[in-house]
Amino acid sequence: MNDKKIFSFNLYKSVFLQIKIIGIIGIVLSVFISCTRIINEASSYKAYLKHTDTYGKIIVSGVTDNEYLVVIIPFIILTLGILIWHFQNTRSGSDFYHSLPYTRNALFLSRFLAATSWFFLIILSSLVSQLICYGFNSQWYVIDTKGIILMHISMFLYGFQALCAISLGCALTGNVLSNCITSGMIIFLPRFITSLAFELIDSATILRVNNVPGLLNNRYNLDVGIIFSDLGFNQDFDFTEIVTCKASYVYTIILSIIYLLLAMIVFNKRKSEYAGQGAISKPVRFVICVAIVTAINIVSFVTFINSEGGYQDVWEIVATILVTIFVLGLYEFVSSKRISYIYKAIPGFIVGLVLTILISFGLDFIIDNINNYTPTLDNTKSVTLSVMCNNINAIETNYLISQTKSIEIKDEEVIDILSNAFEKSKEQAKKDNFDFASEERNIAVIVGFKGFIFDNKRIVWLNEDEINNLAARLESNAKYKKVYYDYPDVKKVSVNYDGPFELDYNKANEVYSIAVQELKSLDFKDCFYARLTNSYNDFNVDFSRNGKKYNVSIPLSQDYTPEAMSEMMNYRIDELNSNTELKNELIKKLEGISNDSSVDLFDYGAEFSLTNGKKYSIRFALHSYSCKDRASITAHEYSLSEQDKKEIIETAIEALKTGQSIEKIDANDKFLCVYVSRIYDDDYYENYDAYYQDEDLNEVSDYIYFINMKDKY
Amino acid sequence: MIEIKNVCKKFDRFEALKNISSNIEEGSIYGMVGSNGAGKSTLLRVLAGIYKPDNGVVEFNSKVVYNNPDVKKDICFVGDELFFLPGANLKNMASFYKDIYDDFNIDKFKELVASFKLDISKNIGYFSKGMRRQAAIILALSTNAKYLLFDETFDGLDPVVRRHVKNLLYDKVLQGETTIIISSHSLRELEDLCDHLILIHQGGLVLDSDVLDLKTHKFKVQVAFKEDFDKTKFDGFEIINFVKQGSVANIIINGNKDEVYDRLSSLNPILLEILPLTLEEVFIYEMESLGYCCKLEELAM
Repeated sequence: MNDKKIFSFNLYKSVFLQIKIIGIIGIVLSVFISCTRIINEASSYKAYLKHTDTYGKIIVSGVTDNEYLVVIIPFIILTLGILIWHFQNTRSGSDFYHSLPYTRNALFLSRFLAATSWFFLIILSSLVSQLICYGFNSQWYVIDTKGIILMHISMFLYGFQALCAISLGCALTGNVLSNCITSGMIIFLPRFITSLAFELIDSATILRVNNVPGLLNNRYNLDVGIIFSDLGFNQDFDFTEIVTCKASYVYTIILSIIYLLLAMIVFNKRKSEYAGQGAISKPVRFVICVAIVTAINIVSFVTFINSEGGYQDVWEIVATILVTIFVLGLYEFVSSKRISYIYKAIPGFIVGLVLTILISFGLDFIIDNINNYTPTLDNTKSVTLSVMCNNINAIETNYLISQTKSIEIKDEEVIDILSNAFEKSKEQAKKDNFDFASEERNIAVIVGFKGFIFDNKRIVWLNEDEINNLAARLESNAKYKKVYYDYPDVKKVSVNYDGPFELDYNKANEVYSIAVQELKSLDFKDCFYARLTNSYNDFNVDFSRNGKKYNVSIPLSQDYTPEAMSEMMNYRIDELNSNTELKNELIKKLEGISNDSSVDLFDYGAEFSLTNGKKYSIRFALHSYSCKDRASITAHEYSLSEQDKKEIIETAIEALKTGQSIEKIDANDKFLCVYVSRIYDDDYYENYDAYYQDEDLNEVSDYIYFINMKDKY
Repeated sequence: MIEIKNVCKKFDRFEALKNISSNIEEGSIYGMVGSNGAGKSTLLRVLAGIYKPDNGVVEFNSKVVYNNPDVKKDICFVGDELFFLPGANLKNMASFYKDIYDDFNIDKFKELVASFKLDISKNIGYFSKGMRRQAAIILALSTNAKYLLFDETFDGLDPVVRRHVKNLLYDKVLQGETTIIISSHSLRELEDLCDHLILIHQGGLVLDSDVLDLKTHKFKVQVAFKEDFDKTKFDGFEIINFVKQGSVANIIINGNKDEVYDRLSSLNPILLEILPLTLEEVFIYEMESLGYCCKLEELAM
């Protein structure tokens, strides 16, 4: 295969060997990082297991574990790209290669494929080394092999896209600095401008879900999506979303091919005598100038127009124009090595400003339309309804959200309820100038109002009646209803619980199983309400499916999961019951202060020491774990009389003496929580590394004792 | 045959080549001479298929050279600024050339390396300027390409090596294998090497002639007569230049030497001497006759 017109294997082989050092370094680096990370993790895990036997395996989805590749790959690709195309930047190199008996196409393809081959080998070596290392350490891991493979495919495409763009950038320009800057602009600048535009829309609109529609969404562009996601810019998806989305692969491949074809065309047309120059042609330089001007000025112009202009906004425009002039001068200096050539940027500067003004007016129009959007039965053919993870943002790796967001609901009554709720939310938001909950409307959902052309995703605040009405209507939607009862098997999950009950791993798994049984047995109305509201005691359960990590939030409450709640409480009760010394000292202390009104156990508590010198503090609180009584979910203060407090202490003493457990829980019950916390001296932290001290690891430092006060207070 | 047909080349607004036409016969050593910036390197690069002419065309045996590997496989170009693969030694470069040029002769390569006494395993980056030039020449000669294009190829070579290179080039051509095109700013450099010479000045082709023809058909005649005389006495001769100082005239004549001598003798001069011209003088007088007024210094030859 040595056709000098299309592809030459000899030339490919020659270039492949020329860049072998970078390729080998890349392989060594990726294998080294992969293996040492896995081996270190497994070693630490093994060491940790000596002190505890209550941990499950580490879940490896392949995605987040390989995020370091996102950082390494740009360096590798940039180096490979500059190496294979650098000859275009020097007269001698350019003349030499252009004198060889190859067509420009053969020269281009042979060199490009040599670099791609090395990059492929680097990714492959990372994949193989990881699979081998995980294989040797499989007893500590739950491995999603498909996820690891998917991640490596996405990383290959991530680098491949960049290599294609760099090839185009190098064909368009003639020195290393221009190569890098132009390549960066090709990859990022167009979507930087669109991302800025959407950021501006998001900041100026109310109740709109950050959602960039269609192909404008950066998730489809692997390079932009991953880098912008890491930088926290224009992020309505996370890293996992991007690298496991098949549509991203397709889009990225197509875009890469477009870059590649353009690069080939430009490479063919490029004159050898352009070696060493900046941009090779006036049109290219012009386009770059326009793009720079637009990117720098769009925010200030949109702000000025949207806010109807003030002195401050005018000064912002002046500032960005000055920055633009500086940047253009810098660019001209890099390109032509003559800063005086900045005058050549004047046409691009003017056109860029005009374009910016036009875009700004366009965005202002869009913002007004969004804010004035009113969903009705006439303009809405269906809706989607998803929960929110907290009352601010929806994270799409939430399993419930990911399943519900694509289910279209055509029930007109549902549409009507949500439309009216949205209007009321909008009025409230406009009146109070913020998007957060009001006292009446305090449950947020994401609603996608699907019109005949556009989809409009909005945050809608609901009250209890609306939730109940929705539940009543949605019960007949089998597909939608089914999602709410879908929970992953306990054997396939990693349960994370970091609520106030401090459960160990095994107990958390047990409570999860009980809670799931209870939730599955609920009527849809109750299940719907439970899932929509957040509770103070959410279990967050992680699992991986097809390379994607999902999270399921299991709401625990005394209304809907009383058994799970009592299981948790009794676990903590047993803990204190088993520490006889502590419990007896606690009882003595409480008996001592029950008549002492100077100690407010509901405020700062009291301290006591054991005979072994360990110090503890005591504090009382009255809690409700009802998701309906939202005001009482978090710790709060009651206005209790002195008599009430005395009775409570005596109740606590009695409960401690008998070691009573929690039995049946009702929705209106209140719980007296007795918090007993270890107090550590400052010396403790200097002298002990608690992580590796068995004695300290096994010791509980915070106890909670629960006493059901029913609805007494 | 190489045909250069009305070739023009511009760099931005600067006209580097203005409507150049010439034919280069196979099996010859073709020299390009001109001052710095005259357009020699540009023309050479157009011939090598590196630059695409803005107008006109260059054909090798009726095939256009630009972007045509079928033609370029028979061409090896050695530029004024040399390029080698980063970190390569002569062995690596030979391997590279072997992959590109099907007729690359590794034995010939080794023979040449030995004759130039270069270290085949040493990184070329550590070679001196002259050694790098020698390395480039060795590689080019080893390709056995039909057409060798050299730009300022003697630059940096000592006289001994220069003589050696010239001998190698002669041998190549004498064996009937190669056509060589070589550019230089030094006419003296090419005088005893080339069969054919062109002079390029400010992008234009001002002279295109066979060297032997130039040397034998142009000569200086010193002549004096008893009586006074002027240029009209020599009507019928092809006079390129006539200068009379006192009673002696120095005349540059174009024609057959013996014939001219006989004819002048018949005029009964008291002094008649035929003196050879250097190639430089020939070029200068030719250019003057074409209306180019330039001195030796201007040509920097």
